[in-house]
Amino acid sequence: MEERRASKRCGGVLPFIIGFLATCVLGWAVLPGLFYEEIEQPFKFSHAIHVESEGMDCESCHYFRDDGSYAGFPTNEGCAECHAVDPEEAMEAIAEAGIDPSDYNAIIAAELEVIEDNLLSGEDENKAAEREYVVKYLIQSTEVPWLNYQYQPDNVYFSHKAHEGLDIAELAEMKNELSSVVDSAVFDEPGEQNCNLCHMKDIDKNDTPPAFERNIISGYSKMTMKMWKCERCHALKGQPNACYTCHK
Amino acid sequence: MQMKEFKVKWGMVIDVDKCTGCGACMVGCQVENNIAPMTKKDPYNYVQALTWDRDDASNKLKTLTWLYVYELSNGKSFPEHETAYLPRPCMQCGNPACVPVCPVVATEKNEEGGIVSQVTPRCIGCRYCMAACPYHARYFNWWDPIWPEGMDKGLSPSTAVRPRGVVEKCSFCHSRYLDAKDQARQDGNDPMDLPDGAYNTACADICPTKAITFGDLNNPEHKVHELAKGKNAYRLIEKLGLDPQVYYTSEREWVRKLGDNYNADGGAHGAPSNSHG
Amino acid sequence: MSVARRAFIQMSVGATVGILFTPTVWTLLDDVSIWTQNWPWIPTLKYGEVKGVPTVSKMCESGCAVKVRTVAGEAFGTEGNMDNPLSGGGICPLCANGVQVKNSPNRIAAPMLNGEEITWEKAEEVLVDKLAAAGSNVAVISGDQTGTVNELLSAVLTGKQSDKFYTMPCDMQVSDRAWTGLMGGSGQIGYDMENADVVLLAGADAFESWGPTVANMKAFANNEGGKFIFAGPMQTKTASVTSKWVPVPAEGMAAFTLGICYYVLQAGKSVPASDFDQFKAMVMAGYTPAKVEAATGVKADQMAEVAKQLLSASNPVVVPAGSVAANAAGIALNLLLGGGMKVLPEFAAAVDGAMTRSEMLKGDILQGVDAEMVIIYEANPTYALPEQVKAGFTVAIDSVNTETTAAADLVLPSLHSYERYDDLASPYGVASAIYTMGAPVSKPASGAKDARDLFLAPAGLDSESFAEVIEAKVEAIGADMDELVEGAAYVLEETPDMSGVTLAASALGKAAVPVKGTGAVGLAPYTVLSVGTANQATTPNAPATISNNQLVGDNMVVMMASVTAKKLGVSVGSKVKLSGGNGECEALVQVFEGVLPGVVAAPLGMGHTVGDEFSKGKGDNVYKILTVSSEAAAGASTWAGSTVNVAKI
Repeated sequence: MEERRASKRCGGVLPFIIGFLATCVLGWAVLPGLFYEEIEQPFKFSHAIHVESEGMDCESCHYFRDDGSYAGFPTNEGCAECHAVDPEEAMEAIAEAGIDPSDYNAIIAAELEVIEDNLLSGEDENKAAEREYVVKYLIQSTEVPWLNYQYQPDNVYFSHKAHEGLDIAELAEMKNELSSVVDSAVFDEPGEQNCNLCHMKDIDKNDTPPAFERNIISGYSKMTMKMWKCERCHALKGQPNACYTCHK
Repeated sequence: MQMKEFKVKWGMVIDVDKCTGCGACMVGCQVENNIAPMTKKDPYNYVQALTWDRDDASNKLKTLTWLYVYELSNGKSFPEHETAYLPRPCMQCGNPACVPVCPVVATEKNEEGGIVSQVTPRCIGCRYCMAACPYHARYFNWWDPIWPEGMDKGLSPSTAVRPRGVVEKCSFCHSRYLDAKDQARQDGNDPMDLPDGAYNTACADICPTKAITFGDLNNPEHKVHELAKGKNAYRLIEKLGLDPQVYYTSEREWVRKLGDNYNADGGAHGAPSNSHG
Repeated sequence: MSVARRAFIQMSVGATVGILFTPTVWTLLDDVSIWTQNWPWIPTLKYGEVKGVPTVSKMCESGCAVKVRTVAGEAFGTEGNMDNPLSGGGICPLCANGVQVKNSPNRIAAPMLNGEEITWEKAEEVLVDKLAAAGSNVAVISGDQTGTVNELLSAVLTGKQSDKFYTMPCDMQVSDRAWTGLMGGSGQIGYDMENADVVLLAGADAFESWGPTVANMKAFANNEGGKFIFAGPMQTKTASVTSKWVPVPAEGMAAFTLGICYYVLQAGKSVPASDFDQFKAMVMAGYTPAKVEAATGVKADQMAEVAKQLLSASNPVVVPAGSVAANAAGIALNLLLGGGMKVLPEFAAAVDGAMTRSEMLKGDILQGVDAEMVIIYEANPTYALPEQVKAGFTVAIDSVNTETTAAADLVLPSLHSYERYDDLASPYGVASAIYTMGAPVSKPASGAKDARDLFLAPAGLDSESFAEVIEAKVEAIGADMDELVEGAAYVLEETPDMSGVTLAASALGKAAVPVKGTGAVGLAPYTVLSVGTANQATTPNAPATISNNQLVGDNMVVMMASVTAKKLGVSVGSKVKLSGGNGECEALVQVFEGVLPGVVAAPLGMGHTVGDEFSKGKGDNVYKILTVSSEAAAGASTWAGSTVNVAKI
């Protein structure tokens, strides 16, 4: 009897451990990935081409307006400064060719001069991406529905201006305290600008934009900074953590 | 109770003698803060026949009027009768009654400027704060906001849209404060020392008689600093000790008396009434 | 068996503990809590550059100079235009809701012929055919008081040898009848309230519904030391801020004003008018304070007190409203006092064949319109004048569905103020000739086109769009287009010839006698902008701001003093039927001591039968119970002196 009991007790730990380990592995390695779906950006926008090949600055598209607000994503108006396809002319050409202006594939296939002659890219792959932008957005006068990796909900007011002066080198002193907020790799090579603190690291060198990882329950981005992270940094920097510092 | 003091203290001085009760401020407030028009039918309610209509806008217990203009009467008969109009935003009390009763810290007075915050995603809708506020400045979303078709494309970027089931209130158009600070930073000025007028609420902006003056009560360079100390300046139910940051001013004695009408004559009859209009 | 079961339980416990050692549960809880904060049916906001674009808004009667706030190019709000003297930063509650009205589902999407949607080409065809068929028997009813569109529409009439141009009944028309009709003046009367030291608002609800409301309010706010006195049958919103309210029945306003003239004449004031002696004799004999008191109930000492204040002022101004006689009496009093009344020149016309403003105001719509074809521009006569308009074929131009568009044969959707070029030339009552224009801020709603363009050819113009007419107007008056587009106003400093002006002594002597209807109590119809105007129904955000003294549920509320209620045997909350004119209204009673005894105050602008839920079926239509009476001596019709019978139901 005693023997049997002992063996049972011993055997009782094993299933527990199996169950424990199984869900631990599942919970750390598998499940988190299932919470996110990958959504591609509207078209393949290459930072690398614009920055490295064309020598554009970050501020060419991402700048502060005169009122101190931040123009995060470029608008058609900005893009059209270089991508000089005239929407009116293009639409006229499309009408002349008898194509439905909402049939993008037909427009692309028609290889209209007014579009083709104004494409700036060299390689075919890049040209295709540029053509896609021009046809789907620029000539339609529709703004690109960029997906914001750092998406924040409407109740958050984030001021880029207030964070403009944050210096990565200075923050490096708090590297350990901030380890759960900021990827420590950021502190290894602090650049002139502090964008890497919160934004995708070295996005300016990126050629194919990574997919936007959307949480299937909350709808937020995987990179959405949660409130506790904001609060941690604010506390460390001696900044207020009152509700209305960031909420609206 | 401990009073929180801030270097900057946003406040209003409302000249009751200039307010005609036209209501432009109330409309401007609703537009700025994305308060949906009151609609009876819910297009997403597919069992409408089985449910009640949503509330009518003339039921003032169910409307959302962060700023409401009350009609005051001196209580006398013709021809001695007089009227006045009193716009009532949130008083942003120095010592708010609503804050300590909130079980989830969805409202607090904790920021430079002394604006009492209300964070609706955190609010659980218990409405203790509404019961606590003696100014009836807080409102409950009895219904989801519904803009008639097409009207929701023109929403203000200033304020998040709230669902039903949460309490909301006037925020002194707080995101305009954040905007003004950004503007100051952009111009190389001190965001904690904004000039008079750099930050103004929607109601004060739109008021045709400029009855509402807004500014930093602590800053001698702001008009409200002096106005709040004027000889005819008063605050509503001051004796409760909530230390409101909204001041009123009127040369009419009966108006000033009504402002502190709480148990004015020890509960006896004959006190002037203010019609809830 | 038992081992497997136990093992399973143990494994489950292990699994449960295990999952708690991973972030899964906690992140899941976090995600779910976020999910509860962002329901899919709660709209999200749009971000981008925020701008304030100056333009004009035509929702209120005088029009407002506004800035439309846009985010990423999409209009979302309306604010005042600090740089424009019509606004000074303020706007009225109607225009404050402009964007919401622009985006309203109540907008008309396409031209309609007898209730059927048609194309614009077809609409133009029908319009041209009908215009040709109607010959000279064409009339225009315009709800716009200040726009160059009136030049266009009147030129259409001139081309067809018709003079049937009508405006909706308005203060500007009454003033014009008094000034150019009875007194032989020219130009437009204005009142400088900003620089006056004593302002008598003789019936003019100047801070709510009379004249350029917002400019008046701005003048009041800027006038630090000035004393404002309001005279009228009820304590309007205006009266809540004036230093004094003198209760005067509407029909007695002219007599009251002449009663003040009595004291002013007694003080030795005079004017170099040809009929001054006659005027003086008329007043001194027929409008002695005792006689006026007997006729109007206003105490002689009250008139003496007001007269004293006006006489002691260095720059007094009297702002009359109501009947033609009241306006003439007020203008006469101003001429005697020599204060802040102004006469404004008219801006040069841009369209050949256009009528002058005064010519446009001559038609008396209250006496009825009968024409083969009636073109109604942004007016709602079917609602406000239900019996006055008869037409073989009606063309209604409006941006939203109204009673008038519902009843019209041909409906042409117009653009909203924020979608089109429009202008404001000297809204009635402003102290100087002022011109403001606005360019489109928003793209037109789908299907909408500028209906005014269809009248360019009929008016004999070869312009392609109405924008060119506005350009021509700006050029004609000598203003700078760029400055106007940026929101500045153009002011014309010039005074029309005043010689030959009379005091209309003979007409006024008769016309100022109070004439009251036969009903039991007087009716004081009043306008509150949150409810709307004759042409503009209640706006979407307004209902929450409308007081329970005007509307409770779907019931209109009428107000009366407690003595009146007692006399009528009604009390607060009583449901009553008001009958007058040719109609009836239902209402709830509210006691308000700021109404003259023997008078019931009822809000205009409710009881719409067409439109959106913010106005349709809300309250009752007081226009139905107004009585049109003829001001015989002044040659005009008026609603003043309307009376009603009140029955409890």
